[in-house]
Amino acid sequence: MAKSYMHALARRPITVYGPDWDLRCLICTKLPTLENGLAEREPLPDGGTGIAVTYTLKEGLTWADGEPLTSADVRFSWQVGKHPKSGTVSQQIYERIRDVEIVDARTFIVHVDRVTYDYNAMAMPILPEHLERPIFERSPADYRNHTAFDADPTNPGLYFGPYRMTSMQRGARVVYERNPHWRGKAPEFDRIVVRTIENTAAMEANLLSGNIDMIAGETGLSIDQALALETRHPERFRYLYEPGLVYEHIEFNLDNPIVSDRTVRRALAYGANRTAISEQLFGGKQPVAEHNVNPRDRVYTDDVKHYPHDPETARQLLQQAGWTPGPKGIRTNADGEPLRLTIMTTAGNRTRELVQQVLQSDWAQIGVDLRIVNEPPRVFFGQTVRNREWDHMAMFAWLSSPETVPRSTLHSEMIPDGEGGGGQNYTGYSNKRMDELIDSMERELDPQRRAELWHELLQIYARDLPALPLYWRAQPYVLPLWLQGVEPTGHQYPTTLWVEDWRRVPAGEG
Amino acid sequence: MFAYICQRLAQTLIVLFVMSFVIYALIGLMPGDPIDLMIQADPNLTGQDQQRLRELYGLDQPITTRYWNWLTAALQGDFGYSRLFAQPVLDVLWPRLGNTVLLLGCAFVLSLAIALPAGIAAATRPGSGFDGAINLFAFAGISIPPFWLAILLIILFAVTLGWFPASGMGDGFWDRAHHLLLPTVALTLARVGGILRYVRASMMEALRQDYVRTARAKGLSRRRVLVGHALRNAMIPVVTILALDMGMLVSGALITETVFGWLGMGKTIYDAVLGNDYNLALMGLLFATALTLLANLLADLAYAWLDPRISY
Repeated sequence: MAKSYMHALARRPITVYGPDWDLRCLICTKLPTLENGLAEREPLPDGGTGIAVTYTLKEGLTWADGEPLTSADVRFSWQVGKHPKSGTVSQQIYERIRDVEIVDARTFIVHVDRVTYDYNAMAMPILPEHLERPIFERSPADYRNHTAFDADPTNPGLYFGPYRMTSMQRGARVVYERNPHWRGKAPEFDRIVVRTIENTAAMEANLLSGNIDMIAGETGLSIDQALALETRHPERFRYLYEPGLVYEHIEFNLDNPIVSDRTVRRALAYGANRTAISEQLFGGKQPVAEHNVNPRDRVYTDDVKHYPHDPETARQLLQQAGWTPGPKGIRTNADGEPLRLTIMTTAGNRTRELVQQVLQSDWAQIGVDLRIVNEPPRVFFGQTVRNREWDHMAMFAWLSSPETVPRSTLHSEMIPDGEGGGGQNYTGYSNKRMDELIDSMERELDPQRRAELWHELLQIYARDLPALPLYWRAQPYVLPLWLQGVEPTGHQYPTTLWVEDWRRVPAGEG
Repeated sequence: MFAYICQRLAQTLIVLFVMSFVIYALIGLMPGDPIDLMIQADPNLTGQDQQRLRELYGLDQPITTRYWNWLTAALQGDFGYSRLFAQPVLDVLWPRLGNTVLLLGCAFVLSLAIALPAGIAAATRPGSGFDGAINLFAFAGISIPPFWLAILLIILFAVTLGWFPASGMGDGFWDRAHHLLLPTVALTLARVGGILRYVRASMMEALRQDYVRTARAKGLSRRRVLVGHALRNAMIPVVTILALDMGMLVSGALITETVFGWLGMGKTIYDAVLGNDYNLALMGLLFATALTLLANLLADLAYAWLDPRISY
């Protein structure tokens, strides 16, 4: 996220989701759609159907060394991205593209091998062909070790945004200055320095001492630190809290006989006072999640089963599931075994540890003995979660994009097989109708029909509860009073993509 | 003496070779690999992506094969690339080693400058109010958590008084010195207590010896007795402690480096281990090992200088 935040000052994707969560052109002239004719279905050699999407770059786009940014750069970027040895992390977007056809210096057609709902989203990073092609052609396998982005990061030819990187001290700070060749809206500030401060207490001290002007919500303080800072210095800064796409939740291991029972999962949902967690721990800034889609997402629906805090209903459900009141207030089953569950999360994450303690107290009232077992993040994610080695519950977060189809986390084909195959369906959830909905919605282009598919998916999700939704994590921004124009998005596209809208206002106006 | 030094250097190389394998194996035993960390950042990573990336970075090979590949390259001067910093490993480590030596060197000198005179003074006044005050100072330094102390210094001197920057390393000689002061003080206060206590105890033991009584009886000045006779003998155990401390400081300055944003070896090694950056973690730990061994060699040589009865 830190890299994306900084890169966005000096580089731009072709399309983005804006602060309003709608897809829009950033450096293209018009968003191509089937309706406006800039996207057209086309037959594929194998008899299938693909799509050809035409983009036109804005006039005047120039790399900061004066070279024009053209369609050839886009085509080259695709060639590098799809090469198996180039080191590209996720090659999905590149592999789906059959060709990037150059029409002229500013217009190109992307031929994709399938028609999916996100056919016109183009977030592929653009590489400067005039600098990178010689490096890539010398040795594609070594390209990732010799790319100018790492070997010569202050080369102006790498940047085409309102700023360019002029100095970098790795691990300490990066300096950006105005790009003299930027033809878009002129940014207000001559120079922006992004400092790396890895300790949040030191970050706060730097802010209070005036060493830094602001703390970005994308990568800065945790919610409780921001709330505490606001309590101590309410008038000194401007605080923005934007609930985003980081979905904090508890995944159940559906192979476990206790939590594989949906009645038990529902009881736990009713027994957890999630509203109190949001209000008491987060000052209401991190709203309760009802399922895995954010309320700002176009496909969100509230027409799902809700689980308000209702300990009496929770007790009845546990009774129904065969867990009757036992000694010391802990429920037992017919064999006398206590209802003892474990919850795991990342050790040292104060927020999560606080939430665990609240849940422990809530669930004790309905007769559940909750044991907290936490691990360092690299053990938790590297082994426990990946191999599905937790007993009952694992608490962590997923990050997604607007309208991201949850194939990896909910499709039955994505259950890890223990041999490196599968995806991130760590709960082991398997539902035929869910699979059908996921397969359909990837190909459904009609927005209304897509929304209907999503709504059904969310109703199943809320009914089956493969995971217990907790809350949407907020990004806390701490801004100086004289700075306006920073508009948090809440999704993965950072605020720096609109840095040219940031402006200084006179004292008293902030 | 020269032969002794050569022998010790040869032993150092053997130890480093053995440690390289041990460290590589230990890192390999840690759960997860860099690809697992990437998956957590991007749930849309497919199984194919994971397999491709593991092959690309050689993570599908057995650990013995990976170690052998690293060793054969290292013997030819290629210590590999840092995945986290996207640079050759030595390009990452050399500047950070310099930063660590600067910080540790200043803290070391300042610690000695405080501990030696204070320890000697306390040893010559056992049980006095001055001795009590010195002991209190020493225990405070030993007891205060370094993290808390660092934050306290920042709050007082950077936020409240505004005398020093809160973090960072600065540019240029004077700016860097300005940035260096607070982390040096934090590191010194955390270490000086232990050294002071050792100096005090060793001096008190030395001052009880017959040769000191003889020196006084001969009419030597107090200064000559303390420095020329007692201190020289008292320094032998202190030198041992200082040598061990040097090794711990390289990795133990992690907290100080993190809080003050000082780009040193401790933080780099920590990040490399957690980020599963094999090459960087391995070389960083070997650097720390080599520094410890070198410090111990210097300690052994110091023994010979302090005590003429010792020769190699």
